[in-house]
Amino acid sequence: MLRYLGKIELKRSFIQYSMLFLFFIFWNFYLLTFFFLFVNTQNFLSFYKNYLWADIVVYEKKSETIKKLTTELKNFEYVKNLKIFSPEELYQKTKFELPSALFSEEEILSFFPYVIRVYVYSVKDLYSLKKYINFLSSLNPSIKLISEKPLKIFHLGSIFSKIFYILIFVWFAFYFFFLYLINQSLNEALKDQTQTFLLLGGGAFKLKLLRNFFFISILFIACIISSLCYFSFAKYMHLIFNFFEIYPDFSKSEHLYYFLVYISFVIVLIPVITVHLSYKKYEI
Amino acid sequence: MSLFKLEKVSKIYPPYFKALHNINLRINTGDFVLLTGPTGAGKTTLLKLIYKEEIPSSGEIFFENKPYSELQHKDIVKLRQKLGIVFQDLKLFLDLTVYENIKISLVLAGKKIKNMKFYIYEFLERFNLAHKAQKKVKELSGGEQQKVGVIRALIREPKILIADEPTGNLDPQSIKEILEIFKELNKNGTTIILATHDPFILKQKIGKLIVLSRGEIVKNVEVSW
Repeated sequence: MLRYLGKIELKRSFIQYSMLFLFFIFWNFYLLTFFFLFVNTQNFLSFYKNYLWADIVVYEKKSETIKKLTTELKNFEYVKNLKIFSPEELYQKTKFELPSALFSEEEILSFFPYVIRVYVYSVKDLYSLKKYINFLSSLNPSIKLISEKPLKIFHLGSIFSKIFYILIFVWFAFYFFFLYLINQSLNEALKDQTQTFLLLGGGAFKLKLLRNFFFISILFIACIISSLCYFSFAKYMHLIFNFFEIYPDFSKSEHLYYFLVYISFVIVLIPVITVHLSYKKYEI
Repeated sequence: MSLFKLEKVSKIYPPYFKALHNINLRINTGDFVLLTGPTGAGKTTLLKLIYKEEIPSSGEIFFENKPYSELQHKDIVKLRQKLGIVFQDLKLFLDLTVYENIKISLVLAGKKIKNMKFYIYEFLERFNLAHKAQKKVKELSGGEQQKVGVIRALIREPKILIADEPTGNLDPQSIKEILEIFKELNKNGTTIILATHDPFILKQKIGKLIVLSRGEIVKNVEVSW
């Protein structure tokens, strides 16, 4: 009997099911792409977090000044760590590049300052540090800050990660809404059949079962196609930009697990809920 | 034994159309009820309330003394499985064949028949439709579709048969035949509720005659036959 009902459902709802198929290919592809960009941005951010530092150059050779400055810096909450490079260390690092024949070692050493490398937690901290050192520089010109401007992409990355959560929520809400609409449209197209079936003593469970079977099968095929498109895209991106990693990486068990959870949520759970909700109005 | 009981049942279709007003009716097991009245009198609405396609705006309907409002979904399914319904608009699966339409009805009634194909063809033969068994219903004429609607209800051997204008598109000979089958079924214990304004059927003095007019019962008489 399900075969007969399936025949009617497919015949009468070809347009709706085709729309569902095409919609899911795009929806899933864009979701995976968002995720790909998000995870890679996160990687990028966490990588650069260890490189958020600024160098303070102190031309004064008095060790007291250095001590005082480092103690003060350590008291700031935003300072993660400090590293002090003495003039000797700096000289050791650069001596092969210097024209030793012209100057004696002592002379050269006298040119080198102390450098305090200050590691901070965030871009915001870097600005706070800059503000403080600029203030110190105005009091003591022998102290200067050398810091590169934070990369724009770093800024964009942190904004993107915030936008991502909103985007994902909206994207899922859109999916849920679309599936509900498709169901409503299917119910309208098959209203007569559904009513006849129920009035002849059929249960709505069988109709829901059939609808779920069609939904899950169509979404599953669409998911395979769009996932293949996504993986080709991710691979291509990885080839162009080496630092982009492909997610999910199925060689890692946790990635496989998360992907399966995602699939069961998107292909099984949401369709089943929308089918169930949409049928309520049509059960007589 | 009271099979269906309607107590002060009214049905109003939004916004104001009063299809039925304050109906009190009792249908017993084994009754042959003829429901008649002019177009728009409320015959179809009354039947729809009985097989629960519609819900009353007020009042209560009882099936074997159980109120409909307390029936659960599974109870409604069970009730409908006991019914054989000939719908006024036929409600056939137009994209399926005659055979498939009838088979669905049999399966939904929970009938376990060994040689279902043979059984269905035998029934179709009685109505001269065996040669159209594999035709799609939408390819049949109005009269043939009506016959399929009747066969679909009869083949279930229902305990209760509800027929809404089952003879509208049929020739006099077919009407006679169908009426004979209905009488035979009723003799064997099937309760029949037949809505009609066919003069031929109304001339036959069968069971209980209920006349509806503007949503109210104006006549409810027992006729012996």
